[in-house]
Amino acid sequence: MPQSRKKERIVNLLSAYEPDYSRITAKLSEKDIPILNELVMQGPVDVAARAIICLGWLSSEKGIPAIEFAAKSDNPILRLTAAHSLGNLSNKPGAWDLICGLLDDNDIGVRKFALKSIGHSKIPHLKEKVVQVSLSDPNEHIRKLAEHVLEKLDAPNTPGNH
Amino acid sequence: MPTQQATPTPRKSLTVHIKILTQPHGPTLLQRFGAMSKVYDTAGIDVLQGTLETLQHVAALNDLDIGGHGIGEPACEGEITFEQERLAEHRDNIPDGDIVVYICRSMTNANVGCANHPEDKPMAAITATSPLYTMAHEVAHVLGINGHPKKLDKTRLMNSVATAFTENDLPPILTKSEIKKIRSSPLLK
Repeated sequence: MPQSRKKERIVNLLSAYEPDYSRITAKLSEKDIPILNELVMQGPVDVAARAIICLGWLSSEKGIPAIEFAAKSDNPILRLTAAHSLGNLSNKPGAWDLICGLLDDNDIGVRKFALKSIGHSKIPHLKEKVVQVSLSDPNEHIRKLAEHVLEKLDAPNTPGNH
Repeated sequence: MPTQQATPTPRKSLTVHIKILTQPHGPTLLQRFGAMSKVYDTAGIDVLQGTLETLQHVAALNDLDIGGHGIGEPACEGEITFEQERLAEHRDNIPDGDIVVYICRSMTNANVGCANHPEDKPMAAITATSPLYTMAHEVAHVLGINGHPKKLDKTRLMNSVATAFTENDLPPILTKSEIKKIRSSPLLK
């Protein structure tokens, strides 16, 4: 299938009101990652955000450059979607640094999803940073969420505690 | 020439209140209500715009967590999230049984809409940039239509993918069985 047709097929897959990523990613493979990367970097925001989530679900190191691009984008929707998706990529090189950086974002949504990803992936290496957030974030909801994430990180024998 | 089907009787009405976390851009509220009215009119339902309120101090809910954390975990299915519960609490002065649509900046999963709600607080959330018929689609879920057609049918409102984007596009339709279903909703008057 020509590259342009493949891209069109992927964009169509990503166009649902309520995307079903199990179904979408079942139709994708590592070979499609370059197209997803391209959609993150060049697509309209709604398509780019969904491509970011697919990269998280495919959980491949090859998706990290596009996630990094999104995490450093000027667009908060792309940054918060990157923060969310990094929860599925936390075992990939560079992922922790990206999540850590997003905890300092000026956008509350981005900080929220960075925290949620740390809680979901249980990344103990970022505990100190989460403590800082719990004490000094300007938003009360974020401070409380950080406390909740700390409880998760402190829970014994949780998967991902290494 | 297509024949016009008679709309079901008696006519019923549905009041939809709007709570804004992010101002809609793309289709305006007026356009969204107009689009919804066109579709629901074919079901014999008058869509009434209820109250309109811009919510304050809800920045933490503006990017709404509807689930979907982790590979294999679907969003907007099953149990509602803590954030959806909190959002649903913002319904001061809304009569029981009226639907509230919250307009937020984004949702997890990059959904443009989600109709999961607490049983006693009928609501849906849509994003500020969602396509024209998203509110009509999500409210139909609230009224009892579960899931989406398995096969893409560009004429249908409940299609999983938006197929009409402007007021000039042919409005999507509700099937006879969908009309029967939503007309039986206790949320209609």
